[in-house]
Amino acid sequence: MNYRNYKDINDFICDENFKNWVKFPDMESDLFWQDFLRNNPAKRSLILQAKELILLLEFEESVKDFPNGDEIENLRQNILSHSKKFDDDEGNWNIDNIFWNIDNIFRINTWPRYAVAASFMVVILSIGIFLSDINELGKGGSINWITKSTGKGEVLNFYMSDGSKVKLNRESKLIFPSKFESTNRTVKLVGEAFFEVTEDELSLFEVQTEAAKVRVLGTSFDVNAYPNQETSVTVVSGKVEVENVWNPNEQDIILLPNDMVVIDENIKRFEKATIDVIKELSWKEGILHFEGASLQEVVKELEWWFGVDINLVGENRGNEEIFARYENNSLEYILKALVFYSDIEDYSINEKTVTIKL
Amino acid sequence: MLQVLSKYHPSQQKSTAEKWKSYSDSYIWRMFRKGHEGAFDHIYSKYFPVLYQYGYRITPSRELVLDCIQDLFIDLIEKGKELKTTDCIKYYLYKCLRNKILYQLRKLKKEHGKEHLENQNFKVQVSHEVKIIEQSIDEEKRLRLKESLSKLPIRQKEAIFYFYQEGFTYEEVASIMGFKEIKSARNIIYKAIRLLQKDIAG
Repeated sequence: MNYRNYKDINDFICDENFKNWVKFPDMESDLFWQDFLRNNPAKRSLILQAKELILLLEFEESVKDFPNGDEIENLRQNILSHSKKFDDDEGNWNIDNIFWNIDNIFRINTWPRYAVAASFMVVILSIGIFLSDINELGKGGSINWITKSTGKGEVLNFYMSDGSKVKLNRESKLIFPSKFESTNRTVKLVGEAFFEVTEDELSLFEVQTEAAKVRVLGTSFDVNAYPNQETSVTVVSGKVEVENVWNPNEQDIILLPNDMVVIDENIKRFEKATIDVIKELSWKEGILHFEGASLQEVVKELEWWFGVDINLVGENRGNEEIFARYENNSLEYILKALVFYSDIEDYSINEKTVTIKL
Repeated sequence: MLQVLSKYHPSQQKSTAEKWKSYSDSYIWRMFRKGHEGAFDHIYSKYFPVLYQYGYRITPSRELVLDCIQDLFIDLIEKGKELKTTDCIKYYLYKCLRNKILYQLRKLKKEHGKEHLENQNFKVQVSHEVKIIEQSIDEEKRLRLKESLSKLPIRQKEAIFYFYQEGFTYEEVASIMGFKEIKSARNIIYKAIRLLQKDIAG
């Protein structure tokens, strides 16, 4: 746009940028045109005349019977009642709530599940043995064994014969007798479960997993023993004793509330830590959170959490970091929220298959 | 995306209404397309007055204009993500409203034989408030301008309304007025201005 070449006053009057400066000036345009005026004194008169003409153009106020506040509000209500779109099943779903939640999770410092899986060694041996061992329990003997298992997306709550409560996380399996013996209570676990064990001084409660045996008197604790991952035991209340199956010579470890022990398959040694159980066991409360997770990681977690298959369609630039916290929210809710503050454009759910468009 | 998030940090939250005022048109529209009710509230309360005034210019029929505004929003909400993106919400709403009103008018004409279109009010006049700085336009010239303006064909007045009064770009003017080429919008305005300028110059 070479304004120096403008000879005719109409060139200025009809120029978009000039018009914007005259009618809707901002700092940028003002700087430009003041500068131009200073540097092109020959054009000054032309420019000012053009400006005047533009400013003289005015449109007659046309309106009569402008609707009052009530009428405007009624119209708005009509619009909303005709539109199903804004109906949501979450009640008070709006951006303010979502962002408030985000602030909360910035303070949490937990490794998300996928990160944990990535940073520890894969268990290669024994799982076959352990499983067949479990299956053996089912056959023969006078004890009736019950097997409770969950798939992806499933969490199961149930009681055992002594009144102990179990919350079984996704993709897990617990085998226990339909009626406990009087002197001991033994259960076998693959995966993750949270136990709230009733007190019985005469009967030791033991959770057996591939890597650890966890003995308790009466307490609440979590055992995390997924295949191909490290095994961990987290205590919420009471006292728990953990034996390292891989290395029975190692002294049993005693855990108190807020203690957590991890058995690293690689070195077959205990690693004890003091943690914040609330964060560690957020799955129990139905809390799902992401802290700087990539879209891939989020998708993987959602697949596991809800037991669905997710297909990503479109280009993923891969540089996105997602921070979010969801408490007992449906998949639909979470996907809606992600559409808002991630690169996800759209999603569709068809039974157990989800398609996400980028 | 993270930048967007930090702007929403609770410690920086202003009132909801103020929040929306600080966002760009393209962001607000994007939210609206995705079905965010807050975006709708903001758009409705911000643009209702000008939409009514604009509609009234096209046809001074209160009921018709209000009905069309209602239909307009219902349609937009219904379309949701099918809507095009835009960085000028006012232009988009104007265009849709104009189409809606003209459609209704044509329908009425067919049904009742009434001709409403001639009542369009894009009456452009000479502003009394502008202080003459350069004294290039004296009283006599003002009168000539006034007369010249009244003689402009209505389409030219309408184009001037969009371009100068509403601040739309040539592209937006062309789009609203149904021109196939942006060039047509330039031509119509250039034609009008040249005519006015000629009359003033005498």
